[in-house]
Amino acid sequence: MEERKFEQLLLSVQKPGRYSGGEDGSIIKDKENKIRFAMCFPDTYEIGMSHLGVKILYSLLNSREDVWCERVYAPWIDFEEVMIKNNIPLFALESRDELKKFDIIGFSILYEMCFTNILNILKLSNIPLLSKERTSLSPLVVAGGPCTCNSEPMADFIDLFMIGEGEEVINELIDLYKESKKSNLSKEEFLIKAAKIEGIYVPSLYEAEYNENGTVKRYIPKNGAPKTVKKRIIKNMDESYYPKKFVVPYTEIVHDRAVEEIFRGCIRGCRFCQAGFIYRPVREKSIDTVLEQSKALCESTGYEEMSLLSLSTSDYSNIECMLEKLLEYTDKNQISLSLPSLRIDNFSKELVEKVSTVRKTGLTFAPEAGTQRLRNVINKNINEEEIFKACKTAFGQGYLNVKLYFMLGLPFETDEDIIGIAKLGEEILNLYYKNENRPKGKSPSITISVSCFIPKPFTPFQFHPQNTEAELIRKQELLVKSVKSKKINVKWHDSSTSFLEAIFAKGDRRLGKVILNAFNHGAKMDSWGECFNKEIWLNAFKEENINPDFYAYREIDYNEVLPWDVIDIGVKKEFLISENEKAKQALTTKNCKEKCSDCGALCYKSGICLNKRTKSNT
Amino acid sequence: MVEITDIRIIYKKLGKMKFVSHLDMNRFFTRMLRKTKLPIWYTEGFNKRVYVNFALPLSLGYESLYEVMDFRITQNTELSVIEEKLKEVLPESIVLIKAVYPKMKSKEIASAVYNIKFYDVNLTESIKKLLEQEQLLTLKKTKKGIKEIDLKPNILKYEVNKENGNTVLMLKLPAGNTLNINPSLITDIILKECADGSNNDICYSVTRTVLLNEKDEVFI
Ligand code: SF4
Repeated sequence: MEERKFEQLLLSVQKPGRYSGGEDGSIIKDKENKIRFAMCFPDTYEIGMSHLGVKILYSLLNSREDVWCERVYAPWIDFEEVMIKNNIPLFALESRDELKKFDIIGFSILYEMCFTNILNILKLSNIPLLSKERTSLSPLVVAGGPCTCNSEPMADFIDLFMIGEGEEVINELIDLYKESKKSNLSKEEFLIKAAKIEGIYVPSLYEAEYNENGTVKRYIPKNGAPKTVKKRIIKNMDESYYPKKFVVPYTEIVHDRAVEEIFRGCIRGCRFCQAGFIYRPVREKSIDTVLEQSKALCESTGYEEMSLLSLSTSDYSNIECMLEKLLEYTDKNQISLSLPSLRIDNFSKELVEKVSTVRKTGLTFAPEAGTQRLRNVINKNINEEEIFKACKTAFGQGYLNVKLYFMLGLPFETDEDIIGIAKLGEEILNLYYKNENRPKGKSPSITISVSCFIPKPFTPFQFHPQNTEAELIRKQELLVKSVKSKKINVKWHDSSTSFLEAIFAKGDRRLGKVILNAFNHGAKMDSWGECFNKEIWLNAFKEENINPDFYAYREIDYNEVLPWDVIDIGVKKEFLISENEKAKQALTTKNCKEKCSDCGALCYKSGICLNKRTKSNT
Repeated sequence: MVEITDIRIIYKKLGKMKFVSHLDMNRFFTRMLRKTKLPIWYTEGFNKRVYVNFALPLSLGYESLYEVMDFRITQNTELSVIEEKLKEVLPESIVLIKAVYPKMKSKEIASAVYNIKFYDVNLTESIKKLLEQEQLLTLKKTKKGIKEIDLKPNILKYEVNKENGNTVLMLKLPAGNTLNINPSLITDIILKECADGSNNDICYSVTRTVLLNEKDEVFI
């Protein structure tokens, strides 16, 4: 299509900057003799451009001379319409070439509700959706990201999955691809070889058998594929690749700032939290690395804001020292530093003040459950005193807003726990009024944000059913009724997508046809309220004769073979079972810093597992 | 005491940059200026930010051969050094023409000249005829609501020419704080009246070529 016609079409849609490319830091290369990689994020530009994992892999791949990696995002519906009407296939932002011309199409899968967007990206590129219908080596369709720790629901569509952290395995994959392309290997031959790379899961090399009751009987590997695929991790974070430059967008995106990842993994092991298990063990970057990488990024991008990234940031070993050094640099260079998930209680007052000049937005806590008993059940090691102490400090500094995150529908939850959420909110509110230094004439507000618990693979709670929708609604109503003060706001997420998330999180490959059916009937952008249509999905289950309740509402037996048993994330199933047993008795488990609980992640021989401390005997 | 100096840069905004809105340009230049490591002046107060000021907003989708932006520096720096540093960081679709010390105030801007290229040679005659009419009525959105205005007296100057198989319309329109006429008001009429309905996807592009003051001097 002529450039001027294309530009005119762009100007007819919302936010044309999403599709124009040419951002500062985007990489243009000569097409000759390159492996061309399309890095696809199956959601909008604004969300995809904010994601660190994609930024890392984009820079990493482009640091190779033999690869040109470009970016692709899901077009918003207005532009999709224009594309279809004018016969424009989906293109990569850098070269504006259609995806068919690429060697490898890679998807980053962060959440279940983007499955249909993956199919839509392929469809808009006129690429067959089913892996078995794509017979040639190119384009090869690959995927990675946290959601792929159970990749089974997408097994029909994706040629291979990279399990775990991608920085190393993606290079090995490209090397193999390059070699295979040169020697004219068929797609099948290539996949058999690829399956031998640690961390690569080729679903077509496994045959699934099922029991009469519908559960998985076994997976039979073929052609020398391994029985289980072991997650890859970066052992030494100081030596691993980190971008010196980001693509800096012109238009507004969700997180538009320099980001420094300070560690991977989480020491805590909250029993509902998938990230807390699949990223084990904790591996930190040294302070020097953090400083050096932060400076390089800020200088190359010109960003006036930077944030640190990790799970539970304040668990970084020497955070106070690191922050002091970092603040020295950011202050001098007019950069505002923001910290996610900071636990205010372990900091000196000066430090809190320094960081808070950056973000006066308010204080957030995630107690997740309303009573200490239930917090013990879920192993959320935060107690009321800690919350109260932190709130007092915050109110003393002039904060007015406190936001609390909770989950409804947790295993072993009773109505008392739900009423406890309201009580906690009220006690925090009382604290505000007891504070003598509170700002005069201002009104505090407490927000209670509740989401629905979704049992996720590789967590101790994977065995539990999700609450039915009716039950969740009853619990929401109970919570709202229990909140007496008008200064406390209750917000909750729609439970209808949670139901689907639960199904696909723990789903198997039989769900592929449901996804395809829903997609063919118009499902896309399912994580967007204005696009999501539950009826399409329910109908798809009916038409494909699959009972969704089986996946969401069934209690899983410890002895059952699970669709994700084919993946080995380091943490052993026995550990998850023992954690679930402890949950039953409301017993907590110490975090990795205090004591090693022998979860299995030691097999990676890195990070916190190698710390010198007594090993658990229990 | 730091000595604060106003610096004005004149640049072209071309190619893909046309998709960057006026609001986004602010953020863009903030980052570019920070990257230069020049002694940039920040606004005072709680939320310190790089001070940048654009002489006249440019609509999304338009290119320009003459954009004007002001910022401030806190240490005396040669204009040539400023130019050099900026050229190092700017993308190819922002072409720096020069850095100067401001001579005029933004409010002195009185008119702007636009080059509108229609990729259709057959439009030449009909555009001429249209613009020869005594009145050119259209609806314009104002703060008080929609009102009908006559564009004819606002077209300070125009020229219609054939050029390499295209129709090029040069328009000089009032610009600035008091009265600002966007050329889209006129292109809309042209597409409606001259494109005889059958050919509704005529492509055109708009380039602002210069900003002028009351005396028709180039704004600088
Ligand atoms: S092996 Fe021990 S230290 Fe390592 S992640 Fe597991 S519990 Fe933590």
